[in-house]
Amino acid sequence: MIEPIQIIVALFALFAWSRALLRFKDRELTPGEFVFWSVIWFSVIIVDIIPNIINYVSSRVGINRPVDFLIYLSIIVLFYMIFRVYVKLDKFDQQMTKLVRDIAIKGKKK
Amino acid sequence: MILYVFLVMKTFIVMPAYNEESKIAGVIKQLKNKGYDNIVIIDDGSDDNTFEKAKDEDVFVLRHVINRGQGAALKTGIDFSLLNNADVIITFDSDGQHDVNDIKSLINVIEKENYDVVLGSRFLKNTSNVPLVRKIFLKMGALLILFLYGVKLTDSHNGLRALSRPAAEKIEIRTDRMEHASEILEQISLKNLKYKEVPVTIKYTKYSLQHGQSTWNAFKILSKMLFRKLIQ
Repeated sequence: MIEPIQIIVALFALFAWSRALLRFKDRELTPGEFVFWSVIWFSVIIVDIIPNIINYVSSRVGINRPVDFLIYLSIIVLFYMIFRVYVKLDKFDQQMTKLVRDIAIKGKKK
Repeated sequence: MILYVFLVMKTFIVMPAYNEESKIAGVIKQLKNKGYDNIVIIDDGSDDNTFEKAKDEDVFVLRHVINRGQGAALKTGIDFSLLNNADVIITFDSDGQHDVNDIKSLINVIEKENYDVVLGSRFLKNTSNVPLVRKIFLKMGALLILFLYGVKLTDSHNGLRALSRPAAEKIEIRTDRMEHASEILEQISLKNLKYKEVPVTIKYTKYSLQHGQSTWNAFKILSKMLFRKLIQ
């Protein structure tokens, strides 16, 4: 028996994945990033449709309550994503400085 | 050859400036009076008239269209000086807290003693009226730099330094904000540069204390240094 919430989550995950696909088509996402997001959203769909998978996986990794396992996993994924954003921001910062520097040196005045 | 080097050693003074309209012209005049002609001001996106004031003094004035931090401004000045065939690059604060008379001794160490990097130290001779809290932080900073990079210093984060051309070419400043001072020290260690400290005087005035680094900033710099070390 599929509950309404499962349908909503699955539809949302499909929607989110379609956004990733569109951005990949527009070359705004690298193949690696697209694979990353595909794995995330399809995992959400699989777990959504077959929740027992979580019971199985959590008992295999030694965590009693499946919900705890989900929370641990989410925290790890979120931390990883924050790290990725940090690295990207740092790169933007460096590119911005380079741009500002090039403009300054080209437009020097005496 | 030695005579040739002494005759044409081209010295560039690099001064990042952020909102220093009241001090910048005076500092430039002092430098000019001492015979330094190649002065590079980097206006780091100031909100006031720093750019105009510097331009009036007939020196090289570069402008960051937006504020990118002292490290970024220093690198802009160093890159510009290298492009203009500098042999020695002096980094100097634009808020008037450094003494122009100290520059000569820094240059001498590069020219005559063949060092790559010369760092000013306010603690080698007690001519600076360093506030106690600041002294404690600077000394702790020096200890940390010894621990992290193996560079032994009496002072840390002193903005008055001299770089030989080869050193300036080798040192890579990637951090935009205040952590560049520790990054330069890290580069000294990584690139095996020959360094020496010479005594300099730092004038602590109400103005320089307000405009300079707060003690709280020392914590921020420290946390960024450690974070960078962790992710490297």
